[in-house]
Amino acid sequence: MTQSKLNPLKQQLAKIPVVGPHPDFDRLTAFAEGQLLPREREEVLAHLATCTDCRELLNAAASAREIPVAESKPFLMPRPSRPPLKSWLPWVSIAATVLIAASAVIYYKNKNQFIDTVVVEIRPQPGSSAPIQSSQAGSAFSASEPPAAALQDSSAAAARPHWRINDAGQPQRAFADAAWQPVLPNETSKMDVISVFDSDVWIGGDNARLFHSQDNGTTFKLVTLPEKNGHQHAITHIHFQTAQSGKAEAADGTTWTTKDRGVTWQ
Amino acid sequence: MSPEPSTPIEDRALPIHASATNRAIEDLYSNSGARNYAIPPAAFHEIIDAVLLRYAANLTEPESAQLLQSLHVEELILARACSSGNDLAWHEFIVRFRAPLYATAFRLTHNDASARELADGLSAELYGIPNAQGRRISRLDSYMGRGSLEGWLRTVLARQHIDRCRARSKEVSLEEQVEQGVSFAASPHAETPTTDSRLTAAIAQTLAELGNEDRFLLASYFLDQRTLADIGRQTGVHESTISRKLDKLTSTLRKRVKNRLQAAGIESRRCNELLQDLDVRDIDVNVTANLKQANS
Repeated sequence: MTQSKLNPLKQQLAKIPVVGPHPDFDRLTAFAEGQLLPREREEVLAHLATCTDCRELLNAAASAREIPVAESKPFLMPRPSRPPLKSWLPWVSIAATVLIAASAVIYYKNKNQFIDTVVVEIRPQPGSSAPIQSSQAGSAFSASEPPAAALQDSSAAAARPHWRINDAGQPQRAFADAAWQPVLPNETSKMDVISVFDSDVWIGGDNARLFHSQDNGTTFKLVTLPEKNGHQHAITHIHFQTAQSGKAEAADGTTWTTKDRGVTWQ
Repeated sequence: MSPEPSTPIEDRALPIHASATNRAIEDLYSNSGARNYAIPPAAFHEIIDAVLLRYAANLTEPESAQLLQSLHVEELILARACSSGNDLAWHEFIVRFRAPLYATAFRLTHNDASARELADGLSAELYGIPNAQGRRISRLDSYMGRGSLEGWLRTVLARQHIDRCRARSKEVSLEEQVEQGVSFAASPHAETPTTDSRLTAAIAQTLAELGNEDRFLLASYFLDQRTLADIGRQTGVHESTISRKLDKLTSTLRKRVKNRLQAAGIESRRCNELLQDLDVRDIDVNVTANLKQANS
């Protein structure tokens, strides 16, 4: 038997001497939660890069975190197709909408759709503009004015809009089975992601464009992000853990965080 | 590993803060819930001073202010109130953290009995173990509020779980391990081909040029064999971002190593042969080697 050669990169990585003292539990926790000051983060990273023991601890603690539903396999599901409506389907749809409206995260990645219970995050899929959830019957109405039927519905979830980004990168909204309406008709930059947390809607896209709505997408305000490494970022991920606290991330890894519902970003 | 410093707070000189920091501490007091546990402002100041003493010694005043803002001050005060034996605080702690503690222990051990044993062990330490003078010393005293209390409990539990696993593996004899089906690798020295010294030097120099985050990513992925999802969970970054960073990083690494090899006088074809070893993680190498062996 000829033995395979050890990866020289691994050998050299293993040879780097450990830098600095082990971070205490507080610092390691704050590192994992993204709450260290930049200088402290660098110190902890320098140590982690060289300390197998601390990396093992960090990994064990991270893996023991409660797994968000979005990350658990049973909730992985393919993009929903739209079979012919049956009489009971609207009720299933309402039930699903209530669950999702309570709190849900939907990630579109490759051909899979991930559902969580807190936030909805939508990204466009090449060659498809399928909505994030099945719709119920209803009449068409404009994005800026919900129909009376929707407002009178006793279930708040039934009036919750559906979201998608079409092939042209335009974010669109629809209530029930009504027609899709653009919510940023004058925006020329291509949008890449929509994130929904209760009535807050965040839309991010090319040229670091970030829009925020506090009324389920009826009105939007452009958010100015502080400049980091130029203006040409494409916002590809938006994630809010609470209505106040969240993070926007660009394709190149640049991140901005807010703790005040997007009033200020760092 | 002994990450927790043991110097008692009262043995250290308390720092003198700028007035802005003092004002920030006063503001924190009103939001901390300290009044609920009858912790007066002076005692609150001491608690925050201890945090600043540990973490803000080398920070500028704006950084200290930022640190104060990021503190989980309400959970810090809850922890201190618990360690001082406040019943109301313990009630609050049990309501909020008992179930997550056991759930975390189960996710670590994947076994109900072991999880209970692990969580009960930490619960006892949190409640406090009497020292030589009969005073209870609670593990909660070492929580400083930098991260969430639940996250801190998770990290402490993870440390204890790792320590237990290591201790247990030492207790198992070689015979028992063989009976359990553990196989031992042959000594790698005899037949392992040696790596070209020019390649190792080029890699070492290139690694030294990289930033801390890049080295951390490489070590996690290549050395620890973590998945992209694992690394994403550890750093709070989406795994697709990790994937992009790693792609870019390995490509840069290859280019720089190749440049160094060529500068050392190695021809391009030979450089490419040497760099093949950088392409795969060891698991892939072994699979390839095993497949070849199975076919022969």
